[in-house]
Parts: sequence; C-alpha cells; structure tokens
Amino acid sequence: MRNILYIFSLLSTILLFNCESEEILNPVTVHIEHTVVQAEIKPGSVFPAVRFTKTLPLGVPYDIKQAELKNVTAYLLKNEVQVIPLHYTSDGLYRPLYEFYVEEGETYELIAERDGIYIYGKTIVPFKPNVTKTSYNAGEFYFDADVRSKINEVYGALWIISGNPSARANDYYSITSPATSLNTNIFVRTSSIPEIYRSPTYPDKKYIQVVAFDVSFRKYFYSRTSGQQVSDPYIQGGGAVEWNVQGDKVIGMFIGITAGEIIEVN
Amino acid sequence: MPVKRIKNNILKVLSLFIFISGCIEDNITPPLTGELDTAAEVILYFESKGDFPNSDLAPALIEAEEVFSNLNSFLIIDIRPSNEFINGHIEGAVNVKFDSLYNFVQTNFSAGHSKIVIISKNGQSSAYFTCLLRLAGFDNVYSLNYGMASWNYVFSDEWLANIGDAPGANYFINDYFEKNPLTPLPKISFTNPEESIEERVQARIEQIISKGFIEDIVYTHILYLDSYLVCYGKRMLYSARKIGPFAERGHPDGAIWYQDATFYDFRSINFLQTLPNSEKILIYDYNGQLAACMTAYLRVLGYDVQFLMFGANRLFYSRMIFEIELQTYAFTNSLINNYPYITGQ
Repeated sequence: MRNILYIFSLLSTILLFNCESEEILNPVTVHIEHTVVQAEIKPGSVFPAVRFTKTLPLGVPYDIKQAELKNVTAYLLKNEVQVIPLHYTSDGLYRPLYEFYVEEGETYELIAERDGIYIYGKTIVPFKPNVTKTSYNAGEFYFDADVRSKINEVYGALWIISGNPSARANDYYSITSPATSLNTNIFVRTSSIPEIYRSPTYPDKKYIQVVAFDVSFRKYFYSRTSGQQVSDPYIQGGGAVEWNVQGDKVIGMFIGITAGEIIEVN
Repeated sequence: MPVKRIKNNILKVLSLFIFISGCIEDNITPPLTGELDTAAEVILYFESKGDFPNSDLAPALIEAEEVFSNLNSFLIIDIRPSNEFINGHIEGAVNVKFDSLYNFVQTNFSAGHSKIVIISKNGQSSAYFTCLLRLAGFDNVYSLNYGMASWNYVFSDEWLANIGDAPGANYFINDYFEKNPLTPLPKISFTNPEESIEERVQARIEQIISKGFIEDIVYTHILYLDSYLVCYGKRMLYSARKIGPFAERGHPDGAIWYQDATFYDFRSINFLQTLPNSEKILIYDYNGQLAACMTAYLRVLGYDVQFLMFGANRLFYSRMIFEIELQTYAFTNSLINNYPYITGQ
C-alpha cells in the first residue's frame, strides 16, 4: 500500500511539474512569422504569378504592402528539367519574364529561397475531367457525376443554376480519393442546391461542373478548417493544415487545377 | 528482503524512465534542405537585368560613323595586340589587353563617357568581350561593327580574306534537324559562393575575360561532326530557296536551327536547354558577331561553346550576296570607310 501511495504521489508530481514552463503570451511577441506561397496553375492560361507573402501578427490589419515579400529568389522547374526564373513584379507577385501557356499533364516545381530558407512545391496540372454521366439526386437535392479517373488527380464538383440571378456553389461538398487505376469511374457530387431551386417546376437550367485537382489538394481540403478561429470555446482547433508547399515555417498551396465543362443536368 | 529490494529498484528505474521520457520531444520531421541551381540563379540574374543576350540590344554594335562623330565623348578601347595598335589606331583610343580589360572598364564605367567602344580587328573578339561586359552590368559598352575593318580599308585584309564559300557548300542541304530534348543546365561553380549573385556573376565573367579570346576554329567539313552545330539566325540563314542557283543548299548536314529575334530561341522559356550540357557546341550566324555574343552568354552559363568567326560570310558568301534578306549581313566594300587613323603608341 505504501508503495502504491509512493508511486501515485511520484507520478502526480512528475505529471504536474515535469518540463512545464510558464510564459506570458503576448500576441505580438509570440507571433512566428510564416512564409505564405500561393499559386493556382490552370491549363490553357498564361502561367500565373506566384505570390510570396508573410503572415502578420494578430491585431495588425492585413496590408499587402506589409505582407508582400520582395527578396525571394525563385524559379520553376517545368517537367523536371526546364528552368524558368520568376521575377518580383508587385504586391508579392513573382512572374516569369516571358509569358507562356500552361498545358495539361505538365509538372511544375517551385524552387525558392528566402533569407536562407529553402522552399519547395510540386504540382501536376490535371487533365480536363472526362465526365461520363451526370444525374440529379432528388432525395438529397444534389448533382453528381461519374468521371474517368486519371492518376495523381482528385475531383470535386460544383452546382450551377442559370437564370437571373444565376447561382453557383461556393465550395465543394467533397474531394474524391485518388484513383488507384486509370479510367475507372469515380463518383463525385455537389453540395445540396438551395431550397428555392429544388422544385421540379423550377424553370432555370441546372448544371454541374467537375473540377480536377492535383492529388495534394485533397489533404488540404480536409484539413483547411484546422487552426482556424474557433467560435465554440469547447472544441479544439484541430490539427495542422496540410499545405503542399514545404519549407521551414512555410505554408501555402502551389496547385494545378483544371475545371471541366459545365454540363446540364436533367 | 531481496524481493523488496527488487521492487524498490524497479520503482527507481520506472521513476527515472518517466522523468526522462517526459522531456524527450516528439520526433519532428527534419527541416527541408536544398539549394538553388547555380546556373538557374545566373539566368534569373540576367533576366532581372533585361536579358540582354536575348533582346534586340544584342550584340550591342556601333557603327564607325557614330564613333567618328563622337571621338571626344566616347572612350575607345582597342584590344588588338600592341604591334597592330602601333601600326594604326583611332585617335584617342587606348590599347588595353584582355587580361586587364575588365578592371579598365570597371574603373572607367562611371567616368562620364557617354559610350565605351571596344575595338578589335574584325569585330569578332570585340563582340565577344562586349557581351561579357554587358552581362557584367556595364550597359554603355559597344562593339565597333566589323571592327577596324570598317574604319579604314587598311585594316580590312582579314575580313576580305575570309569571305567566300566553304568547301562542301555545294553539298549543303535544306533538311530540318530536330533540336535535342531538354536537358538540365550545366553545373557551374563560383569562386566566391558566399557573395551575392551579382558579385558571383561578375567574378565569373572577369575570370572568363581573363582567359582571352579563344576561337581557333578553322572551318572543315569534319569539324561539325563531333559538335552540336547550331545555326543562329532567321530562317533564310538556315534554309535556301527551293529554286535558283543555291536551290535547297541551306546549311551543313546536321545543323540545327535556332531563331534569333523575334523568337529568341535561347530564352529560358524556349529552347535554351535543348543545347547539350556535356558536348561541344558550335554556333554560326551571319557574320560572327551575334554568335560571338551568344557564345559569351552560353559560356557564362557553363556551356562548352565556340563560334565560327565571320559566320555565314565564310560558309556561303555567294548565297549571302544573292539573297536580299542576307545581303545586310554580307561584308562588302561598301561597309569599309576611309576614316583617319594614327600610328605609334
């Protein structure tokens, strides 16, 4: 018994004091600056700017002039071999000196350095989604589609209602799992359409648009609400957001996105 | 008793283990490490300065007429051997050896001269050094078009001796040869890796200039068999018309066409990296001066390049003076002026 009491008191002491340190937190002083990278690469378009910014402390109003980074050395590696330098223009935007068009299936790597910190991102520009079937789920009021799978791609879908005013889903209901084989049918659905459009007699046309993403988008999509401001004090903020850009204190997405045709759903 | 002692020992070990393990941090993924490609950094630097070699500023030629009209305001640097300089040079010109050229230009860059003109005998080495100096940031440096050969007839002997049709020109062809697939940029190293990219590039250029002008190329029909032969210019330089006296006799067998203005095939987004990174490259152009400039650029990037002095003037001069599009680049007597020169030091 004496031993049990000894163990209990010892463990309690250790748990309470072991390696704990107290700190008075000040939002400004505890701010750990992160480098933020943003780029959405779409086929058929001129290669976009890659934006490099830094996070600002809490309480500091966001101002691009404060957040932008001008001292990043950055270049692209296209299809694992071709070097294309990126140059600062304004507002943290870095662009190639010469415009060029992005094509489906191309691989882009972002290689950069900021104050000695190495930054890396990689994405494959998806192919335009090949939709083989669409339908309307009258029970749950969503549209869905079958897409022919491609490796290294995931899919999301948006509903669109034509009319005046027209409406469009502002987010994806889900992002599909990566396909394990080529040319299998993958089911993808939209979120439910708003109630006003659900009537069978609603006159305006309904559409679905499937969007293909580089496979890394899925992890980001399902982790992106982590670390956000928590409105309910009794819940946890969750784990870290899974960005696809790597580096010490580097966050952001460098991602290939290909929107499919807008297809009418009957 | 021994059982009690064992229990106590177990307790002590357990306590120690808990105490220590509480302080061990979770296994953290090691930070991402890597380094930038040095040749990529150099291209990035050149592009940030306007990408001179791949712009209409290259190869920064200046006509004899403009030099003659501005003898008092231009700094004229004659890089010929001293014996040639003594035999005749432009009044006011300074004779500078290639091994001190970089420092001389650096010293005089901001001395108030509106232009710095580099002069060689034929405009070949001056075009080469001018482009190196431009790449180093000296943006008011020019090369005298065709060199001293355009200044006075006395100095035009080498140019006139080199124009003509090469042996085998009658067997030139019009076949189109594909560029190589893209390959990585050459690996280059700097003598001052800790310094800024500007300082690294300048040190590299200074080093290249100090090696002098090494273009001992003699045209033979064998030469291009072991080289990646590049024709740099417009389509008419590469392909001859289908009919006429030079019907479809455009270029040597195996020559690969890279366009100059306005496509600039050596730009990073175009076909620069189709150049082989571990093979000798031989470039020919119209008259050697643009090829000299591109050779300078590509050498800074680490490519093993040489160019054919006098260019197509030496390969198929007859076709150059026949084709209207090429006549501009043919060296003729009309390009030779009769400006005064002085002798002595």
